[in-house]
Amino acid sequence: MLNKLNCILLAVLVWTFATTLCFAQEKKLSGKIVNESGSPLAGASVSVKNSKSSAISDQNGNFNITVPANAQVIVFSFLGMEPQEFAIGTQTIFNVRLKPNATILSDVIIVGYGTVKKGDLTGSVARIEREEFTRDAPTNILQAMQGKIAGVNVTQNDGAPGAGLSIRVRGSNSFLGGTEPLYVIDGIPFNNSSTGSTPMSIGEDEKQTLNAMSFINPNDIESIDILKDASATAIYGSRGANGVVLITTRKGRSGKDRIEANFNVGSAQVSKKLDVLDASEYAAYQNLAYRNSNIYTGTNYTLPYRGETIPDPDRPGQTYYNKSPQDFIGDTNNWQDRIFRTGLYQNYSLNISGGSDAGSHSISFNYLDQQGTVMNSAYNRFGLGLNLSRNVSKTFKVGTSTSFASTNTDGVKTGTDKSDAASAGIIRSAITFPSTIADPIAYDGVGDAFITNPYIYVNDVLNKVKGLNIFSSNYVEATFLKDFKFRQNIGFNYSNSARDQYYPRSVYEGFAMKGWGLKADNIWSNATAESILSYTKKFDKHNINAVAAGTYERTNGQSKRAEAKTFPNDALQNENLAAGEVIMPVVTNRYQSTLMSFLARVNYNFDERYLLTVSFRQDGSSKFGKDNKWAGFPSAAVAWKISNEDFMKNIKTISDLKLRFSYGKTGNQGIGSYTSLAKLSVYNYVFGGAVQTGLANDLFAGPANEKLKWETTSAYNLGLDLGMFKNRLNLHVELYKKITDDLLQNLIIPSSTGFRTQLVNSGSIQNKGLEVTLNGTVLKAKDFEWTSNFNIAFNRNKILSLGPNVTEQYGRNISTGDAPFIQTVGKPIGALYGYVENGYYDNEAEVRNDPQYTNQGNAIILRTIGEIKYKNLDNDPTTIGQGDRTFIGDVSPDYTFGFTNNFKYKRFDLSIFVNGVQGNDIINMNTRFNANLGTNKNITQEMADGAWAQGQDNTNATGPKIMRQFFRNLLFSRRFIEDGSFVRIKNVTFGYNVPLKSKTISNLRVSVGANNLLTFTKYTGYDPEINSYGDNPALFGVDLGGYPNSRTYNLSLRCNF
Amino acid sequence: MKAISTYFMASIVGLALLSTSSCKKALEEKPFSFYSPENFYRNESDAKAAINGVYAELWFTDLFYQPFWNITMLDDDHVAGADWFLGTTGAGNPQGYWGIDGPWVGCYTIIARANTVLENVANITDIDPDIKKRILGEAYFLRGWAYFQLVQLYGGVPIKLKSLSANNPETNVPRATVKETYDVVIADFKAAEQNLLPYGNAKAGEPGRVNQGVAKAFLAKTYLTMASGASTGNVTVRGGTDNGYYTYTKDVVKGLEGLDARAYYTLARDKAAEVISSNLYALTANWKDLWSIAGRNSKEHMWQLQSLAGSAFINNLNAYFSARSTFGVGAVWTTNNHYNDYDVQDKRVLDGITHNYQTLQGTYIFYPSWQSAQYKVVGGITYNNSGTTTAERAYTIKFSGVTDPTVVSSDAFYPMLRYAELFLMYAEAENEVNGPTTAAYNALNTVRFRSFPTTGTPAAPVPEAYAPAGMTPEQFRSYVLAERAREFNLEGVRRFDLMRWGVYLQVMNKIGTGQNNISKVRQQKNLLLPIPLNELNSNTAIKGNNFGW
Repeated sequence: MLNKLNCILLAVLVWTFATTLCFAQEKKLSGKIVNESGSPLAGASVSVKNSKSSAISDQNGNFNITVPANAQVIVFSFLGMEPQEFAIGTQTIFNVRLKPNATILSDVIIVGYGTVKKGDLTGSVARIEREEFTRDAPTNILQAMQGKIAGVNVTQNDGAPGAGLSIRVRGSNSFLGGTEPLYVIDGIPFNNSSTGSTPMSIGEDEKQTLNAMSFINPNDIESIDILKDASATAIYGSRGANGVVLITTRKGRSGKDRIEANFNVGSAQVSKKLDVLDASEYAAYQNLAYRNSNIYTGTNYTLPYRGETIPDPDRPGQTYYNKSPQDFIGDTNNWQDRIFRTGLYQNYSLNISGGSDAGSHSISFNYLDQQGTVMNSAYNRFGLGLNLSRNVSKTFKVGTSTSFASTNTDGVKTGTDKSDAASAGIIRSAITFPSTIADPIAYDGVGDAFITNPYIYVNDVLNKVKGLNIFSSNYVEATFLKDFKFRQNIGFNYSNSARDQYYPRSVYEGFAMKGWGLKADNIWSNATAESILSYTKKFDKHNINAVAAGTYERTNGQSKRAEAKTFPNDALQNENLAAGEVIMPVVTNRYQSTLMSFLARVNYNFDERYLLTVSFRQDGSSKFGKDNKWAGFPSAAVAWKISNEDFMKNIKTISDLKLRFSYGKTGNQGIGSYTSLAKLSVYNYVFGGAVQTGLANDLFAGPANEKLKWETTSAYNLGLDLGMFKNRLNLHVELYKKITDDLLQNLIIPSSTGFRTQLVNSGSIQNKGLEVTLNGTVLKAKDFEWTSNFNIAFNRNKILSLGPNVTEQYGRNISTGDAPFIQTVGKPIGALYGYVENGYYDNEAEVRNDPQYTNQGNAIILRTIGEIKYKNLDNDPTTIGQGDRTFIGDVSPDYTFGFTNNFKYKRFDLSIFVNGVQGNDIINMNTRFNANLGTNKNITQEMADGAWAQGQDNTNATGPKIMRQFFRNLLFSRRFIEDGSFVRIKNVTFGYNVPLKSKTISNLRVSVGANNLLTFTKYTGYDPEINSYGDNPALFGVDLGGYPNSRTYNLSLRCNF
Repeated sequence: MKAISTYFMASIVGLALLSTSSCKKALEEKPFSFYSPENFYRNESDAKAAINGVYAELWFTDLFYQPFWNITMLDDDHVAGADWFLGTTGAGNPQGYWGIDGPWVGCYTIIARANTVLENVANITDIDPDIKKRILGEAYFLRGWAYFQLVQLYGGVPIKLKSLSANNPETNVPRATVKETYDVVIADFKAAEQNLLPYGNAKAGEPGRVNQGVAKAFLAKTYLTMASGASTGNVTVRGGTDNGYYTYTKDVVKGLEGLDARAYYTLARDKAAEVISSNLYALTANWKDLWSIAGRNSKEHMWQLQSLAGSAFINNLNAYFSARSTFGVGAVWTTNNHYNDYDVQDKRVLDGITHNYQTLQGTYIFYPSWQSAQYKVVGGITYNNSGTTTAERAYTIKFSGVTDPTVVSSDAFYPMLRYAELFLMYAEAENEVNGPTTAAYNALNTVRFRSFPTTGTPAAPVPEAYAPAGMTPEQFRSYVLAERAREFNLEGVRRFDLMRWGVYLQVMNKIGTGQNNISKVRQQKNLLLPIPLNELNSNTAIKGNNFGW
């Protein structure tokens, strides 16, 4: 059926295209075309309605045209200007002044496969203009979107240069499909997969992801439109459930060529350092730990810091002085200082653009060089953007928007989820590395403590990712039969990223293996073809706009990983893997997926009062089970422009009032290829000195699931737009409810099945929320203007079901034995489950009174004094076990907000942007890995001060006694969960437009700005804005010791020629 | 212009037709880089690859790459080591260890894969019938082995004898009893015994594969484990802090109450005797050769976990257990008390413990301090021993016979079953059935003689090589237990022995804080491992964890 439809549609097109029109008799007209300020417009178009005649103005704006005798209306147009029509009558000279076309710049909203006038929107769509998002000099576009739009929650995964960001539109409605919205750049969908652009690392314990969108220079973007409700997103069908972000790149405008140059330099510093014990305090802490061990567990340790001369165990017959805590007084060694630095960055861009009636061009270059605040971490990008369009004839247009970017990321190991010290990553080791070790390189970190020496790691380890991105969106567009337009889009998208990694002998991994090198790369490409036919007609009070389209997308990807260990020396790093004694098997993978779609949409509006949008999309995806590849996604929306009703005409205060309601279905197919199939993986084994091939069911793929299908979200949206005082004050209120069914989930199935997880469709989630945006001009005087924009969003998430007979299930472990993410019917996705603490055992009697310890031996009773007491919540008081867990937190915020204030005084302007997140929890794994007081890891002053201690008032103790031991098993409790609420002065920018007499330079603006200037939070980690698991919605809000956030200061110069 | 547009439109139509007509095909998934079960299990090489995949799990991260030996070797009375390594499983806090879920997950992975092999290889016709039978036997064996480990470590466990599939979709399976689990172990080992080929048969397979004798031996071991667990009486174990002899009343292992211990001992004895009388295996004459590269896969090593230098199949056993190590010195060693449990002439300490070594930092060290006359000056080099607790480290040589001892991961083999154990199993079982008979003594002494020097002509073992004559059954029982500890030191046997004899808690708590400040304090809960959280969270048929967890 669909095939036929497509064919007929296209056949009709060809036929109509071939039709031509005829003309007869003539007369001559002339005149001059100028712009608003009176300058002549060269290349402006002059045409006659219903006629073939047309002309173009010359250098001085003059034109001459011959028109048929019966011509009635002459039309003057110029790209970027409002066209003007005049009745010809007897007039032969027309001097015309064209005004900039306001609708093109701001009043037209991109809605996917078309545009719509802002006032005619029926769905929930928000827009950020160029000026708004380039103000704080962002280096990538996601950062530019942060806090600007109600209901769009952008979180940076960590603070590393080039690191990934996570974005959630109206809460999480998927466990597996990700929360990433669909990005569409100049009409071509872009799959923003951080994991796809992050090649594998050695050990694969690094959770840090790279930002796939980083190849786009924010300066090359004209506008960002975000589709939030289902009526707007349903046109993207199976990929619309997380919202759609439409990115429009900068195009040339009419007139003479313009040149814009941007210079941006700045510096970044970590916004916070943790207060850890200094050398003397650390030494005393260690002594206490050993002393308490001897007291409470009967060990016979000698204290590590004694202040005496002792025989050197490594050099018989010689002695050395073992320092006491006092000997360290005045030693201010802090490992954070050794790895943090002031990172400088520079960002330059140049754009040349222009246009005429014949077309437009925009060419841009960009260079970004960003040093991280951790030594030897850096990011740089070279980008090239090309945006060309050509009006081949009045009815035929071609164009391209192509960008090329080359990126380099110098990484350092942060954000790992393993507890052992060797894989702690440099942030965690900077906190925990003993401060008594003063010489940064004397201690090689290889001794029996196995603590990563952060200084050596940042200096010696190679970890680079090189990326190459090409994104190209091309079209031809033909107008025919007056009301029809046909557009063919061809998109191509290519990404290649390669990791180079080498652990030399100076660090633990490399020492043990005598060097460990890796080369890994990911390549993927995507081709899109879209055929779009649209029809626009206005008769009487009826306005119709209809779109029909067929699309086809194919993605191909592959990855490779080569690894070798044990090299003769470190000289070649990873450049000659064949020189390794131990060659690991090369791992390769290749995949492909296809998406085919047919879609249609009708917008109808009656008298600019009653608006209706109906759309339908049929999607077929290769990723799903064989009988579930196709699904349909309908939507409908109505709007009533109350302000256009007669009865409102007299209410002058209200300039705009519109009520909208929409319903629609969207899908999510954010899973990998082949997930519905059973897979055999390679599991080789050695027999008698030779490797033999072994194959078995893929442990992690789980059993096959032929029934696998889409996740479907049904969403309702009620919106109100109110403009008052000639739109000086605008209020937008959105109320929504979304229900997602057939959730795609990687369910943990009992490991006794021989699998770990299984991918299934089960369960449903509800999100409902309220978004309020208020913006307006607070004050407007002759030289002074104050505008404000405030947005706030509330989202409530609830799991409605988890599938038949399942009331709860658990998220993935976030480290050994910790699986605090519980999914329970009736609770939100980010609910946390764990034990409840109840103070400490202050004395022996208290221990013995606890039924857990009644029958234990003396050794256990004694060592338990000063330990954490957990509440018994089940019927078995003799054991604190899994039954004693309860709900202890939730990582979803209550609300998020953004507040921007812009002030303008004469040539000065000031912008202050504050954003905040309230009511969310963060799992602080730094604390989790370090809270076991008494190990050889350094701790914070706060932890040391709060420890339980014999003979002191322990009512306010915050931790167990400081003791070297190996029995203490800290259960997952609120101890590791903190309130992640924050309010942040995200950006302050102060600018000045320099008055110029020069004719070449039309505008020069200088500004200074600060990002992350001040943060108000109770979170004890580096920064509350952290999300170590990237776009995994089931593991949101975890701090694994990620790269700290930084405060940046920058100086910008913008120059227009 | 018009012409261009027409051509253009025509080509678009062409393209569109092309793509839509192949609509259905376009959405078919084409796997490039993995095999699918649909086109597998067709011939002999598929069958081999399938059984190899079961073995592979033994080597994998869950089992012998570390967790399995970490959990079972670092937790007994004779082991000491660095506290950073023995601080969790070695100190009674297995939940703190990253690999705690390994044995459960790994054993069940073996079970699931073995089930797949049994179901699919049975239908293959394009295969040598003997090879097919052998492969089925290997699958039965590995499944039995996995259940055997599970029942000892966790008690009764869910029994899965079919793979998870559309016909068998149930993932929530309750725990069977200990006895029921053992029944599965016995049935599988018996089926393996039926299907596997004897050692030496041309089709019995490459070194590293199990053969009929291995199945028989494990059948004997299973009977012995059940019998000793069910029996009552006293056991004397040398230990505590003073290395004195302490007699404990043994506990009956939970789940084996009421079992006819004598009947199972009889089965164990007879099965061990079958392997011995087959004469297919032999003790390696020179004890030290067992641990050399040349001694791998010898007639004594009935089943060894394989490794291969220069490949991905390497492990860090050498680095953890050997004197000189990439860690500076190894992290695990034998206690001084256990060292003193050997006769000074016993090659198992003379050759088996590293007495002189140089650390990575260059320091020369000897062990033990009380034998300085023997070991202080060797080959003109003066070795050192400060006599402090941290210096007294008895490192085994069992994992040092590797191709490159200077890297953390090399090709150490792990002994899964040694022929010597058959003699000690026979001795133990015979003693429980008939008392310390000559046959029992002979079996015991066969193992001892190999590691003692001989004297006179014709050469006869030195007097110390003979186990003390005239022992009572209880003394003999205790002596065999101690002999097993001497013979299989750091081979993953001791902890299982203490558990099956029901003296683990008594022996460990007698020590309290052990050598190098390693805590040997144990609680009731330490008798079984905790079932992994993921299993409890997802298997609704299991209500609650093992006691205390």
